[in-house]
Amino acid sequence: MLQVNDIFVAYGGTPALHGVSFEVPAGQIVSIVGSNGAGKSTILRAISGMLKPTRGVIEFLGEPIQRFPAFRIVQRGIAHVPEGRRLFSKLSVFENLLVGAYTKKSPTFRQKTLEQIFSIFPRLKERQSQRAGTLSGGEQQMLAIGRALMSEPKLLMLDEPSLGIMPVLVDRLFDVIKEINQSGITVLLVEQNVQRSLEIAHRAYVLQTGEIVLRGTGQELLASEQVRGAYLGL
Amino acid sequence: MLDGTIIAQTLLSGVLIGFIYALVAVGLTLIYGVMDIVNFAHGEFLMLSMYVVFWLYALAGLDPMVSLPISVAVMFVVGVVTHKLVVRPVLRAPMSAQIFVTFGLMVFMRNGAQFLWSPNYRLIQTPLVAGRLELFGLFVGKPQLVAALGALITTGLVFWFLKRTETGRTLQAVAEDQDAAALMGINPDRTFMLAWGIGAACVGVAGALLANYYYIFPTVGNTFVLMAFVAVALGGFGSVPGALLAGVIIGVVEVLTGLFISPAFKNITAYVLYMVVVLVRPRGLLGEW
Ligand SMILES: Nc1ncnc2c1ncn2[C@@H]1O[C@H](COP(=O)(O)OP(=O)(O)O)[C@@H](O)[C@H]1O
Ligand SMILES: [Mg+2]
Repeated sequence: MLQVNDIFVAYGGTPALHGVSFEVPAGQIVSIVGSNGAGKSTILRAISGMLKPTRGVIEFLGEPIQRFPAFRIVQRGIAHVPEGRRLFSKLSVFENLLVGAYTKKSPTFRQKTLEQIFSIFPRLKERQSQRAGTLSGGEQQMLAIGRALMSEPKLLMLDEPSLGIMPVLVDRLFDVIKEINQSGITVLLVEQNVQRSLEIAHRAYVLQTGEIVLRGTGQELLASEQVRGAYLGL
Repeated sequence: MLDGTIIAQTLLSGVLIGFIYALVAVGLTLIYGVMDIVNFAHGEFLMLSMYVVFWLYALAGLDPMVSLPISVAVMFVVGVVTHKLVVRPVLRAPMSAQIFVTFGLMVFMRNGAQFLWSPNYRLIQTPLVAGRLELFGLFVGKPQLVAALGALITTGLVFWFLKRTETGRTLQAVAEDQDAAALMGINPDRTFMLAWGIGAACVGVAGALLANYYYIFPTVGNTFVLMAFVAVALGGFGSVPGALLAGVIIGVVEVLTGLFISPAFKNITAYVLYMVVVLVRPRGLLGEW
């Protein structure tokens, strides 16, 4: 579904990704793990068009998208839940969801999708008229995911969804990610919570200072000496 | 001796002119709110719309009230073109370039108007809306009343549009976080164009309403836009209700100063008010941040 081929990305003159390649097959959960500053967010930003790679190709459903502006990439079916959530804090929960459906104008589609999202996240329904800025960290993350789902994505990219969430909610969050995947949406997950994200991943990559150093199934990486030593502290 | 009627009369005229300041300020605050750029040519947009109405009157015999929609349409286009040709090219340039580009546009438009239309004062001699009427024992010029009501209604419409329509929500989203908005599929550049179009259309309304009774000359925008700048800061950058409230406060302060101190100090008290606000409550009366 998504094929990233030898991309290079730099901030100003400072390179952040040096020749990253990986793929995300349709229907799977793919995790990219790595420590802070490895370049995980940069990868997602390059895919969603917030940053332009200086070299390399990003192919989505057979079409090169690395030159598209961000707003066109959403139309193609990629939704990016960015680091820090980036909600519209002055808009209500409901309005945030409507903005998420910007590319889908049909009222019946919106109604149906809203109901699905409210059934996954009942809290959002209760708080729909509240300003997004007043939600708790966990609720904000739910809203950020819900807002992304409103665009009916084929590929959902999540940047550190467990960050800033109460530990008791983290289990629930990973269950939700699995549910979303089982409903037919492909997921690309970037996490510092290495254990949990490898557990749910069909396929996973380890990123180190802008390069992919290890790849395999989630189970293989969980079992690998390198991952256990460097990321799981075992 | 100052009696109650004179004070009431003065307050009324302050409120009426305040609505006009508010509408001019709404245009400014919208452009600023969505793209963090101050339109220093806003007063010249107002001037241009007054000349549009004047020439439609002088050459085609159209009354300002008939020309109003034309003025709105022309100014919308002027706003969009300003974004495309003047602002967009410097968006990635340093802050100073962004300030100077609208400043340069102001100088260009003002000199252009003097060159093309001379510095003469013009007046629409026989507008349809003329004369005055009595309201609760106070006298009000009809053009002033119509202008104030028109400005109030337009301000309300802009507010409704921002809060209650899909496109308005889009503007709010881009105003808060343009990258996040792009991730939702919104084209930020089109939204910027729209903000410029609507911001300029606001003065298109104000200009047509003012043309009913105000002199028209190349620097006519000055008076209004200076008060509108104060209203934007006083009301809170980016806030439409703030601009409305602040516009009225400034209008009232202005006329009371004229009455109790001296007309020569009218502008100064508005600035003093502004300085106090900046020092005491820098985000303005209804500002968000
Ligand atoms: N906006 C930015 N400007 C400059 N450098 C950045 C920016 N964002 C990230 N970087 C740098 O790029 C590298 C990768 O960052 P990032 O992709 O955010 O890592 P991760 O998400 O894995 O923590 C880091 O060295 C970081 O300092
Ligand atoms: Mg990151």
